Amino acid sequence: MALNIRLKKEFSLAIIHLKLNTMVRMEDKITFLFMNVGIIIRIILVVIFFQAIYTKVNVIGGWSYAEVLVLVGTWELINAIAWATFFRGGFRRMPGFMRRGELDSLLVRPVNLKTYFIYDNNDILFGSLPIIFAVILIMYGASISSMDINLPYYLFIILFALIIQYFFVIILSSINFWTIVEQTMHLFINTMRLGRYPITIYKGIARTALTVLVPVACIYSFPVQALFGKLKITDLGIMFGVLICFYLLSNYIWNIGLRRYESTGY
Amino acid sequence: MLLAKYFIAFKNVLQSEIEFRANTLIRFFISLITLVSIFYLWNDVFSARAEIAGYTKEQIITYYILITFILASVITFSPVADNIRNGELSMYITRPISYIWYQYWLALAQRFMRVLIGLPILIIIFIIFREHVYIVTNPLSYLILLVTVFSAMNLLFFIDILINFLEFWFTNSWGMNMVFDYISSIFSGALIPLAFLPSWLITIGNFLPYQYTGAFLIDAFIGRISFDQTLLGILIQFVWMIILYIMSRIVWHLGLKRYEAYGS
Repeated sequence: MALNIRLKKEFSLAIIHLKLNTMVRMEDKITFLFMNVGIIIRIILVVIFFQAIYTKVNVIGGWSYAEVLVLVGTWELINAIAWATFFRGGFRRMPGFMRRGELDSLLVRPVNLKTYFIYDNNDILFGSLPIIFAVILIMYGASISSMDINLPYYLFIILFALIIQYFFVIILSSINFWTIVEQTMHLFINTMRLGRYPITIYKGIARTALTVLVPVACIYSFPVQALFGKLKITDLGIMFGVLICFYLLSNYIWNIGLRRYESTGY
Repeated sequence: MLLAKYFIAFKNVLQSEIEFRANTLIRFFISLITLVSIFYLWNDVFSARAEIAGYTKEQIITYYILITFILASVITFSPVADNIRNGELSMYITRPISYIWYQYWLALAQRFMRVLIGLPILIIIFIIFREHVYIVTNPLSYLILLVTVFSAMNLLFFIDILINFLEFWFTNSWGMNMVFDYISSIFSGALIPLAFLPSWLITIGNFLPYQYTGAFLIDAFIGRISFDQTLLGILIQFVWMIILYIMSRIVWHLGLKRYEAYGS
């Protein structure tokens, strides 16, 4: 019953924030237009990049051109969802909150801060078009592939990938409780860029690190492997293990960080 | 004497950059994270070939290390659009200084310090990747690199300020900035060496200044282009600098006519 009430409260708050954020975004139509032109250009550029390489080789890390297109689409899709929800929210602004001591005003609110940050600065309006472009790229990549596809499995793994990424963002943002890293956003984006290429190009310790420590393999490559029926049961097990570990670790680090937090600023 | 007032601004930024050197260092480290994937990607691509599009594996890894380092050093945040948007520009246009040159010296100081702070990291990266990089032994190549990097800094400054001046016409130009950043990444060769691009894209790129802020610098340094081509490239950099300077003066004057000093 208590959970039900809490969920209803969070949901209604999310809707209010959605309306407010959309109204703010609507004031900025030119930015909206150029941002979307920019995103289309970015996707085209990445496609040109891989197309250029595939004119010289047949496979990259054992992945065909079609699989890599789906990977690029998946990368864009997951990041667009993260940007429109939890990453654009409070987590991205943590260095500023810490520096100015603004976290206090958020901590006293009767909400779970980690949940609140999912929707407080949501951007469904600006986030929707990148998602559409990403889906088009995924569909195109899947259509030119000769392999069978398993869409429900793909969507299921995408969901878990997003949850892992959410826990990863919490861990990354929590660093600010110890030392303020102004470039948290820059760090997140560059780390996630490691997942834009097939995980199979990485060898030895690098592949292990990118699967379990900075889990870009779980977030981007595994969903694509799931779509084409190539995800091994051991990889699926690793993914669940990573999810549980990151859940526990993010909770632990966040709580320790909160205990350390001393309001500074003015 | 004329430069004295700008030199004070230059010195102030140098001091500020020294004070926040840890921040610059962290930024460098973060920018260089992507080199890990670049290294593994090209290692895989070159696993069955010795040369692709005229590049050896060592040359391409050196290319990406240098271009990532140069771009991380020379791409700085420009306050120009913010100054226009929040009305702070009024403060500068009433002073007996040229706003463009004032911003130029600020940007130059920032870039100069970043190159200095980033240099030890670059050397460490070359040591780590020593078996996979192309070591340039000709001292003249290092001199060419210095000249071309300095010219590229100037080119990027004028491109940047021109884009920022769009704020005179549009209330929030960051969307446009993003579009120009992506265009720059392909035509400068930051995304992929230009030799890999389809010919129609190379043709378009030849009419733009971007390759002289990235690919040209590295190709000249690692000796992929001849000495004569390098000299011609430096001359083209210089011509682009003059064109962009004149353009920025024109756009500045047109923009000032529209400027209404919003903000507090």
